[in-house]
Amino acid sequence: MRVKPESLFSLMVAAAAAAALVLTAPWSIKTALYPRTIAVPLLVLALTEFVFSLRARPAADAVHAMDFKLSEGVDPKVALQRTLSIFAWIFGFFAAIVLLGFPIAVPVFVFAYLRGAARAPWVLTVGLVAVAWAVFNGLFVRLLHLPFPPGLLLRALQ
Amino acid sequence: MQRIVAFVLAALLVVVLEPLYAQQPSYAGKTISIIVGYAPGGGYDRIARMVARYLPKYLPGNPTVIVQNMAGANSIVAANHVYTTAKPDGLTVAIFNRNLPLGQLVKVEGVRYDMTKFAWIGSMSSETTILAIRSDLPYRTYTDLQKAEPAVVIGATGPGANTYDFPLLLRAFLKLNLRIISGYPSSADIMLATERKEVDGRAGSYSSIKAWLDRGVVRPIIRARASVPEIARLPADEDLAPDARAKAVMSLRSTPEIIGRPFVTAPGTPPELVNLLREGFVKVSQDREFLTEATRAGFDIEFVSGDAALKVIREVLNSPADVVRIFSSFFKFE
Amino acid sequence: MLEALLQGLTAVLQWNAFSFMLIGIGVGFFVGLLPGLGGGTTLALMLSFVFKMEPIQAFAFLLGMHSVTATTGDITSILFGIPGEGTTAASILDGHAMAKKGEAGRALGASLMSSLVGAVVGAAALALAVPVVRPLVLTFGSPELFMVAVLGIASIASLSGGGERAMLRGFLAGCLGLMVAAVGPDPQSGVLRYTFGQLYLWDGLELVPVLVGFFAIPEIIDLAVRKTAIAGTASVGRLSGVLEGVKDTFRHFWLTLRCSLVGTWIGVLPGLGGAVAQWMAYAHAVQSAKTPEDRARFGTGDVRGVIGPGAANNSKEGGDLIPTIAFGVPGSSSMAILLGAFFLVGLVPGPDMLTKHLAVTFSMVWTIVVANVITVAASFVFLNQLARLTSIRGELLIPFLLFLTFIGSYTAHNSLGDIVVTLVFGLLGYVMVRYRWPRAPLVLGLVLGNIVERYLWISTARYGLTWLGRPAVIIIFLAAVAVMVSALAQQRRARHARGAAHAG
Repeated sequence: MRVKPESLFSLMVAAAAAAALVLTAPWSIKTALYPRTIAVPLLVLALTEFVFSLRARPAADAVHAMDFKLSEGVDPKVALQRTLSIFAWIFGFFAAIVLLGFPIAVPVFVFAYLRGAARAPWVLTVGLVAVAWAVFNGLFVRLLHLPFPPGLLLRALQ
Repeated sequence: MQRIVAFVLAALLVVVLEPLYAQQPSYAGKTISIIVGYAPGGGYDRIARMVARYLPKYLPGNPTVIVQNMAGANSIVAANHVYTTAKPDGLTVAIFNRNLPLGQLVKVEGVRYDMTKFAWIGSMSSETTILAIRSDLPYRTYTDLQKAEPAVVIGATGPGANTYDFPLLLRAFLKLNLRIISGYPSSADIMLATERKEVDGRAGSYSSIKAWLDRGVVRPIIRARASVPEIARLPADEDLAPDARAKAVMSLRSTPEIIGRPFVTAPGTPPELVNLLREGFVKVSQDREFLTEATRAGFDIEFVSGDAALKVIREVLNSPADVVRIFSSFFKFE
Repeated sequence: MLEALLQGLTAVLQWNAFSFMLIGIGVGFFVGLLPGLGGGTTLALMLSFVFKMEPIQAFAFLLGMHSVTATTGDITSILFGIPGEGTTAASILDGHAMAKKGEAGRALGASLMSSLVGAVVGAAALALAVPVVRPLVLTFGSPELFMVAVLGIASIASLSGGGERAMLRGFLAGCLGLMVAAVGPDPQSGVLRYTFGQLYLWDGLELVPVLVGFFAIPEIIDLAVRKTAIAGTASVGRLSGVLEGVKDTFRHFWLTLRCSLVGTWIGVLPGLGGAVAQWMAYAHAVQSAKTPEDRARFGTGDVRGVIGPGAANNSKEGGDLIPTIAFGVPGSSSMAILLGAFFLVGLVPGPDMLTKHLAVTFSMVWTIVVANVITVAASFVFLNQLARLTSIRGELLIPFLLFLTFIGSYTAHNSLGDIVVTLVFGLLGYVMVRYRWPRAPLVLGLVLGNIVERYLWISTARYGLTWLGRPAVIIIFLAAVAVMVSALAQQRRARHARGAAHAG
């Protein structure tokens, strides 16, 4: 019996269902009925899935879910590295938005990614950054007047 | 001699022309943002956008006025935002849920504003809540509803909305025999349920029920304090209250309706700027075209000044403790 | 009635109204295209201009914009896997899969053509429904709406994939979605559930940030890992690609028609919301596949998975208008905004619109048709250019995809909380794809959760248990049972076939 990462996932879902159930304890019946009605099957199904996943039967268990499959043509170690890298970039973008504010983070991120990860030539990079900045400014700032608060760093500096 | 005359003339000129080049606040070249505590399309958003179009010509310097939506927690998010981060430069205006003073009163978690500290511009209109029952039912007056058997089914959206709160108090204090079924997604859905005979009636703002009243689908039975001429003859809930406490609680619920569409600007804004904004809003509320458009859109425009609004707020916030306690037992403002 | 029909058409083609429609189409084209620019929000913005217009002009302007967003919204879903609107996420499953196989043009062609057919069907339904609309809408009370939501949940059985394990995970995902829907105020008493003190969660989770993160981020991650163009190593077909898609729509014409009807029907039922139609149409498309092998092709790039949602999205527009015009009850949140337009131009939705102002109602019908015809025709001109985007090196696109993803989710509340939600669901979506849990059921659960809860309570509070005996309720319930049974039977047959193959 091997504990695979995907078993952990179903276990976590089961734990979340249990937690959700516990949290309904102090609520009135009006409020709690629906969450309880859903949490119980969720818990049962998750535990069932957990048990199934512990039985190691890889070939027969190639589950065909109606969804896309992650690309398989890449060497697993490289794939892992690239996955972690893109996660880092995504969270980095978010951090940039929090620290610098949307209007500055967008061109900075586009520039950083194009040069850093994509290794695009300078001219192309500058061109694309300009496009991104133009779309962002023209559409979301000028035309739609969306509110973009200044980032934390800028607020600290003021 | 000539030099003295010239000197006096020059001095006179300076004195006479002084007001012209004294600092005159102006919005020339600036942009005012009206922050709406709800998503686009709702009542608060629509009136804000209408005001945004007519306001520029009534402010010195003809600024650009834009609308930004900051929906969340029944507009508590927007109120918090303007209270804590907006600069007192007269460039940020906010419109939010008229019941937010009640939220402050019952100490809702998450409230970070103090209504009395906002610089109040005023309210564009008041809300008038009524209870309406299907015309094919034999109930015409509130006494009929008290004696109704079986209970009259009232559809509601949920606590915090007048669709729910108004009938709740009617049942509790005036002993109307009502069964309140809440959970409908919007008041329009309740109206459909009424036509379907799934429910027997609903409470809500007069302007939103008017079309059905005119068509004769429903009959108005009772109203809240704020009123419009068409329904003034209806009895008001507070007037029928059995005791002072009940009257105070019902009154507490209705009071914010006087400031139905409240506009404020950031706390600490200098009085000259606030006055400029107030005058601008007053003039908008008297603009012929604005009035036609707003009336068509269902708003009953009647500008309530900032000072009057503040008075209303203070009245709400100074409610006696026992009234607040009873009120909170009915309404957990969420 | 016939003369009102013709009157409506001529009024819409008058230069006055027509030019406003063209402006609306122009706006709607980009609104649908760009994630985060919602049709609803744009309607609210455009409402400001409508006051001085004549009714037919006003609706040509507004509906010209709105009816087009469902058509172009599929474009970013197919090309990039980023839902352009909350209602176009279903097209991602097969549409984007086709793009990854180099068939972007074909997917786009199928999507646009089915959108056009759907729009026409929806508009026709609106026109034909005029005499029966009031009794039609009045039949569906809260108990019936609850049962339809149950039908929707039952169709999860078809959206899970092949095999019992997939179905187990499908229902798991569905329950997860239903659970997530509980976050926020409970519909009956407004008590906050699972908000953990966060003001952002007070209204529950908005659909768009969830969808954008859930679908777009896993695709972006995969693109970064592959380090190729979206279309991979396949060569993007040229004009034949788009034409092929158009032909597909007509090859599967009955499916297109049926999915359009599904969309229209969901639109007619007020209170179900816009996102439901696409998934139920997708489920129907899956169910129409007779053999398990055929069903297994969904999710890998089957054109029927594009046609179904594409048609339903647009037919829903016509359906949405029915309760809006006839009762003043909005069929969706965008319709709620459109209602404002009625009052601004001096009209009152209700019986008058079906009698006195019938020509205006028909002008709306024609607007939907004409606007979509123009959009589809205009799109064909540069669809191929658009499809070429899938040949560009993926890494060059990634910053823009992330930009669109983040800004698309931000516009839900204009709050950073939206982006946090996107990231959280992005992670969840990635994990689910990795461990082969189907994602569609989660979305369906999320969308239907509140509806199920609300209408169950209202039905029970109002009618006790007697509502279980209402004829419409029983019929819909049997349909739900049929859906589940047929899905299970399919599994059984597949297993026997596999068993026979192994034994033989």
